[in-house]
Amino acid sequence: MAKPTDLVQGTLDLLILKTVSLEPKHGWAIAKRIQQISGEVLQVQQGSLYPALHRLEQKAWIKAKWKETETGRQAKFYSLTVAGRAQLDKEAANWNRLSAAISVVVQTT
Amino acid sequence: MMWARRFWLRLQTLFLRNRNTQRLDDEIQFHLDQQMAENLSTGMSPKEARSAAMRTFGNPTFLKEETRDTWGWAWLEQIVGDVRYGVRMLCKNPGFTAVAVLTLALGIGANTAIFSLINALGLRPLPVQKPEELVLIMPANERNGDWGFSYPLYEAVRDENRTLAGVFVNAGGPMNVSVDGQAELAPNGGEYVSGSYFSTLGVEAVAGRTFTPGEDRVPGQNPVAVISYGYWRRRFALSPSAIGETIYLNGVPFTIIGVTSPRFFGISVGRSPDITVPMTMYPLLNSGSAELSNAGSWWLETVARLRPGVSAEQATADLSAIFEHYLEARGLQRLRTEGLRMKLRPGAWGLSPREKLAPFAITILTLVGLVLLIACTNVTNLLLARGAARQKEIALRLSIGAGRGRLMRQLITESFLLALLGGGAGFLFASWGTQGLVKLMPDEVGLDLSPDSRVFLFAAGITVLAGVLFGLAPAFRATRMSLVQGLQGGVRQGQTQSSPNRLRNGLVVSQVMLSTVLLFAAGLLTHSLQELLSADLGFRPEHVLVLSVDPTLIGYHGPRLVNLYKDLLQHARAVPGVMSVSLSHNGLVTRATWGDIVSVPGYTPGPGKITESRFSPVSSDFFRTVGLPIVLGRDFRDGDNETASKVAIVSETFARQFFGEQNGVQKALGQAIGLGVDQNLGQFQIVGVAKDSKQRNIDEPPSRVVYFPFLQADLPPSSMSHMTMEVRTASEPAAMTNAIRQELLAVEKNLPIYGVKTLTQQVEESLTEQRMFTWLVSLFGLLALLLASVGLYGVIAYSTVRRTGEIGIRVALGADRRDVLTMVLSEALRLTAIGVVIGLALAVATGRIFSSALYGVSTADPLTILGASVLMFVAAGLAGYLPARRAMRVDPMVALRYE
Repeated sequence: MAKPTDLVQGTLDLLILKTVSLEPKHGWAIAKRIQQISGEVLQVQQGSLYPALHRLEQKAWIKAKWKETETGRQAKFYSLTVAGRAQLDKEAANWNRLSAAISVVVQTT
Repeated sequence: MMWARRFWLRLQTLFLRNRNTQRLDDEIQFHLDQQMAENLSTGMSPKEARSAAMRTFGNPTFLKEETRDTWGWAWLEQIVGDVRYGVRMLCKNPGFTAVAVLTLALGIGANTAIFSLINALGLRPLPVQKPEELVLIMPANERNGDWGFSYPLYEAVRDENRTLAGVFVNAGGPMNVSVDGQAELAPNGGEYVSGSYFSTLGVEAVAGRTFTPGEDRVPGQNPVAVISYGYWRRRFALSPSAIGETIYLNGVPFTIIGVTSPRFFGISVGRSPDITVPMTMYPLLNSGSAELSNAGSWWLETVARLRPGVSAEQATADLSAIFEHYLEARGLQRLRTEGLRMKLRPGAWGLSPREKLAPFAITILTLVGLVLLIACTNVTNLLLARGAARQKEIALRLSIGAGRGRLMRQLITESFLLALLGGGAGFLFASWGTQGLVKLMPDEVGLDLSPDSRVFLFAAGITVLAGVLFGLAPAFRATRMSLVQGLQGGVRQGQTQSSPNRLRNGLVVSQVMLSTVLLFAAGLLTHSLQELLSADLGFRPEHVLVLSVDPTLIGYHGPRLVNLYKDLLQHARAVPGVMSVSLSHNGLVTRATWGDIVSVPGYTPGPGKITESRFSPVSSDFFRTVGLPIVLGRDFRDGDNETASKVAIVSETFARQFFGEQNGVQKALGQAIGLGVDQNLGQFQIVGVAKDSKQRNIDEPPSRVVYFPFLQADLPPSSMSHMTMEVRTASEPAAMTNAIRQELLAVEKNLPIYGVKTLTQQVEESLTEQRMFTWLVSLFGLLALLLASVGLYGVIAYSTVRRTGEIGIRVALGADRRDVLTMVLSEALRLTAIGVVIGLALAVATGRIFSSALYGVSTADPLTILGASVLMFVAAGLAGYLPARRAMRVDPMVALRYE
């Protein structure tokens, strides 16, 4: 089995912001969602999500709230703040520019 | 707004740390449970589900820590942890901690106490409003240096300046104070100030009020006095009723209107006047003196406050213009051609002679700094010894992954804890120390030694410095080791690791060296003090009582004054038990001398030079009373009075310098010399030559002195104002004090009498400064000796313990106890010998900076060299003997089994 692609530092932030932009999610759900959507290509080591989540929370890009899940347990739900939305747009634009540039380079050589 | 929100989040992670940590645990637990539930639903067993969940998650402990790091307080958490651990380590070794803290406290305390003293003497600005705005103003020229102000000049400056927010003049003077009919001379004298004194300084009264600027406009019309807090306490027991009370100053009634703050000691450190009165009252208190109207009498000190925004240059220009105009208007242009110009100086420190303090301050701070250095070395040695004991712990921590930097931070934190404790205790020591210093000083010297922020910063600064100094090397060394050896149980007994020993031995040698330097300095000063005490004074102070009188304070002047002096002499001579009595203007070793110009026939001074001599007006019997031998010729007689021809007696040095080195003494006899500028005191015939004697103080070289009967010179009024009476008694002079005082008061019941003491006392008091300096340096020397001995003891004791096995083998092989003793002691003495030799070399080489403070002792004084070495060796012997005794008792069986 090939080693899952390591996430570039900063890319994880983008993925988290994108993932919580639709609706509030708790940590496990975020990890699952990233795995699902990327078709299991992006294998995040689940635990490493938490330092990133807390860092983003400290930057006030996401905010957290303790709520009950459907199974009735208390969980910490993360959602995007207004500042986080702006950050997401900025980082997504950056990413698109970068990946486009890289694919052009890869195809022409 | 973002920063505010982020800041708020930050604060939450700091203050709700425990709750946040708990919540992080919950959050991660929830995650793991979710994953496990999912794993279970795919058909795994509970155990498999659990380990699979853990695998996909990663190391929770590590990840939690990493998450907490994002909260941003990791550094604080680590410091708190280091401090907590450090406190625990210090508590676990109370003996070590106590010795280290005490050692540091002694070093830091001594330094802080000395700094407090220097701070009070010369660093602390006056306790007034905005002291930095104050300036001293004085006319000055190259040849004569600084002059004072005349009162009319002050008035001109006060009324015409456009750059000063306030200006005042002041002058000190003796004041005879009578409260409730009891008269005494104010111990610290009185102060005459212009009415703007307190308002310019911004000093307010703690009781009553201070002067108003208008209170000095009309001469003689404002009999009001402000007293110092110290005087209020001593004389009135802080009673509020003192305000409004009438006191008599030099016989003139005054009303006390206020008391100044306990922190205010006047504008000159050490002078601290008790009573302050308006300048315009000066003539009334000084026999109608005309000084206030004398345009050419430069006797006043002047201080001003610059207007806001005015530069010193602008003020100088403004004042110079006033000064030029003044000189012209008063016909004093001559002074302008002598280069007299107006000068401004910073006045934040008042009139204190700060420049004179610098050499003293540097010397004493250097010496006391050496004590701190020795203390630090001691603690370094202790830490090194403990580092060796903790090798196993540190090796363990290194091997399970603690970084060396992280460990060093831990060790340095411990050092700083020690330094902090030492600094705190040292600060306490210092406050006791300064109280001791005050007791050493002459009575009534007003010095505010209470610690201020400057003292606190100094103490904090040297504490941090000490922490770095003693903590770095042990931290480096402790964390640099071979892990395998460290884990195997550290350095085993008997197995010596040479390099730490070399370092520790080096440290002890440097301690011994520094102590030797200090002991040497103390020895030199002590020897010098002894030389001073046994110096040939010229006169014989035993059985002589001295006292001073000032009849001008109660209105005597002119012929009445002269007659009073004659009466006093006559009455004192009649007291039973009195052998002889004399009066002199200068007294003996009182620091008061009078220098003036003499004209000697056949002696022409070099171009631009003048012939000067000390002048000493005395009464008949002076030489007999003080026991100063006349080498040739005769003493003054009662017949040498106003009507007789004028006669003088000169010192041997005078005779030799003016009449020839070879036979000057013989040639001087019979010569006529002129005294004073243009011989204004008259022509005097030399009738005798007296032995050289000490005049101002004891460490001065022999000087030219001319003695003449005070009745025979047309002395200026100020030279007659006060006289010192010398009384030679048959028995103990102090016992005669009352009888003589009674007899003098019988002549004039209000006579101000002061400074009553034996001449021996007077001689000793003239050495107060030297004694204080010697005492301090000796104290530092002993402190250094003590610390170095403790350091030596520590090193020898440690190395003896490490050599227990070796000693056991030696004893087992037949060495007797004496051999063991010799072995251990010789190690101690070897280190001491190296230190003493280097220390003495250093001391003799640098001793020259001391030479100005020494009298009759060379900086390579063999006696001092011997004394310092012997003292150091005795202390080293003691420090080595204690561990040696323990080594002697080593039981070979126990020692070998220990191995």
